[in-house]
Amino acid sequence: MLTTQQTESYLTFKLDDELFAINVGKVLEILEMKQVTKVPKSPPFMKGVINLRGNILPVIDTRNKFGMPQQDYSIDTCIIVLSIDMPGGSILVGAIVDSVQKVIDIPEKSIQPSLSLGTIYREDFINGIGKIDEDFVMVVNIDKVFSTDELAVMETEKQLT
Amino acid sequence: MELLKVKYKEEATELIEGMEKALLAVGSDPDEASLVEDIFRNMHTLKGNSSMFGFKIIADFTHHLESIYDLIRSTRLSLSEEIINVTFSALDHLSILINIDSSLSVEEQKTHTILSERVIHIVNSIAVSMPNGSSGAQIINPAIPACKNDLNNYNIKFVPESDFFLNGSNPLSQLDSLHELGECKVFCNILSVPSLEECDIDKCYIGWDIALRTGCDERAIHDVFQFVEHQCRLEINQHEKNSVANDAFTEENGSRHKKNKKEKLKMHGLVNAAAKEHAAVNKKDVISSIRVPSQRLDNLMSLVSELMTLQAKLGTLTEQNPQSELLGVSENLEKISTRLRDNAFSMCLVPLEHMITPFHRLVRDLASELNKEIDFVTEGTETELDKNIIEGLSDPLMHLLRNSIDHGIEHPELRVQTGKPRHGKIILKAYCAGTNVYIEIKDDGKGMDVARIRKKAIEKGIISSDDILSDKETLNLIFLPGFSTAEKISGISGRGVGMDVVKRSIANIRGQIKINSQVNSGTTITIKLPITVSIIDGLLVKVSGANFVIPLSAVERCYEIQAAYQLNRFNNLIVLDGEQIPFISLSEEFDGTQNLTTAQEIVIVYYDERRVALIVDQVIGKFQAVLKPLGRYFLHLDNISGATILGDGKIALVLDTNNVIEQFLSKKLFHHVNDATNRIIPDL
Repeated sequence: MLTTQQTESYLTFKLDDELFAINVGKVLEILEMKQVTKVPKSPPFMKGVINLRGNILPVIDTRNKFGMPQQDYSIDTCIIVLSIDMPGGSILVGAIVDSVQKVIDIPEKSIQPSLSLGTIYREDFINGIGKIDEDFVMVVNIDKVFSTDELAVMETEKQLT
Repeated sequence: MELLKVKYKEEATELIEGMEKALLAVGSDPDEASLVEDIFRNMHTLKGNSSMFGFKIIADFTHHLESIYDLIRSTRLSLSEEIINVTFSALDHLSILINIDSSLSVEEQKTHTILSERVIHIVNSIAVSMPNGSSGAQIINPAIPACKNDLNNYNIKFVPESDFFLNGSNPLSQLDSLHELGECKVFCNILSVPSLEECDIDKCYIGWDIALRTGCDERAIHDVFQFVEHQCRLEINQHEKNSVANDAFTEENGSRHKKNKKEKLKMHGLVNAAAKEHAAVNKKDVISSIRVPSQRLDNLMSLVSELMTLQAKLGTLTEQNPQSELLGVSENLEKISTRLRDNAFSMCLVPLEHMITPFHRLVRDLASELNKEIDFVTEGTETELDKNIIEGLSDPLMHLLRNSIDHGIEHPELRVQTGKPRHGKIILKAYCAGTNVYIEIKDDGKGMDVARIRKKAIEKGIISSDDILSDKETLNLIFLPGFSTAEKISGISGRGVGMDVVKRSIANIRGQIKINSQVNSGTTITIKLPITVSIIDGLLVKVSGANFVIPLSAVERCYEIQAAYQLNRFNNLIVLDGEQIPFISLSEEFDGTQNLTTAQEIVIVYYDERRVALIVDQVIGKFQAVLKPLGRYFLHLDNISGATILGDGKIALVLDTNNVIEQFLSKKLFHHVNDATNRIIPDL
């Protein structure tokens, strides 16, 4: 069999008991949870900023962003530093997740379009659902989730409600 | 090639700027021969560069302009107002030509034609103004003996070698040049053109026989072929004067001779100038300055900032683990990095002069357009500012100047009537004081009428008719969006988008703007700017456990709160030194937590002219903050102007106090409407 099949590597992480995956190409590094400087008057999902070797890195509370309940940070809590493509250049952002699992390969074929989940997650945040062994993993479209446009939209929605 | 083009553009822009500058100086001192020399030299370089890079349109256009200045240079022509005006327009046009890559638009094409005609007209007009056409040549340029009055006939055989095209030569340019020397007839010799199958398109197979009647001698003809002489067979034979055999020009009339002579003079002027310039280049000094792309400077600055942060961190660590050796190293590093920082900063400083030239231009153009007479004086233009600030300053200053010219300075007649000198005066003055640079734009025009501004503001609903404002506050109304007192909207200013935009763009480079005006004696606008944007002196404070930096420029003084009874919660007023000052509790503002009991200290800051007290938990001390942007995620936040990293690696946010207070005030207004009744009023 020809190996023309596209396989990409994904980093999996957990929020609550759900397993998510992001393309490793987007991940720059994984940091231990550290003290985040809160920025006053910013939306609740903007956790604040941290010092990443002399640069200011904005940090987003992924739980909040995904509409999950708040939880105390544990020893497993991590900040994944991501590079987000945006019109006008890519920017770095940190995403707080409950724990980082491992890097796995998922063949493109085995990522199925997400069915109408009818759950708390916004459908357009999810690229599809991959299957590893018996587990399902949600492949996240991080460019979408963390784009500033998206954040601005949330902001206005909140103001409207 | 692209790179070369960019370089060409850069250089050309600089040359044009240089010419503009010299021309403006000429305006005040018309006999300055060296200025004309400068203009001519720049023009010549521009022409040379343009033809080297194949921008034929620019080269041709400059060529004619250059001829004018050559004539002025050799005192054949004096620098008239008309010439200056044409040159200005021509320079504008050149800037357009240089910066467009595609072909010209119809409109630009039209300007091009008109300007070219005007320029050529000037060149031509001198010959006409010279006495007696035929002897004109001698009078025009006695310095060139080679060009005699009488005409000689030459037969020229010009046969390029077959690989003539390979190094980019174009035989037609030689033929064109010959045409400029005099009347000529060109016969093409196509005998050696092979049959089509044998024809190699890269090769030249044709030659020309040229009959030329000119006043120039053989040398001038040789000059035409100077660069191609080794690539062609060239025979030049002179015929007897008026030889019958070669009179191919019988049908030509005499009137054209005049013009041709002028052309050939030009040619000689060029050759001479080129020779001189060549000599000058050889004597040029060793490089004393180099060009660095500003991007690299920005990189350097951010690296230095990072180094400073790291150095601060090392300092803290050393203090915690004092070891004599380590202390020494840390101290030395501090010294060196401070010097490095100062050096790097000074590299990014640019004298104000760089942006002033277009202003001279603007004043000149606008004044003549509006029929006003204005002297524009600049002082202290050697004052240096960060290049980023200079970039941000150009537009607002331009706008302010426009306002002064359009609204400030009156028409000459009116000025005479009110007993002022005919010439209006605008002074642009820059000076350094402390860590700030001040720029003043002062005019002696009609000033601003406070009563009129007030009327207008009431009309526009900006203030209500029973608001009591001081004169200063009234003047500041013009900085509000949508305010314009111009009765007539002109193309120059007064569309009401003006002053608020000016204020905002000045605020963007962390500057402040103040206005002072007296009816009939003029208006002074003062802009206060920091020298650099990236480093600010600040006061480090703690608010509910987090670090914040308040820019020191806004801080008046600090107090300790003795007890909370001084606070009047209802009015948000605090009594200090017998004065009532409105206060804002930052922890309440940022966190929503009320901790007046733990609040320890008060920082008084200026909000415009008023004083506002900010209540913080603790004032830690003075801190030199390297300002870093928070990034695009926080773009909508305007109460924080950036972040800085402290010595221990923690982040402190830099407050924009003006915006914090503004936000607080708008919120308070909202509260008053909504839940004034629900507010907790502490027992006094």
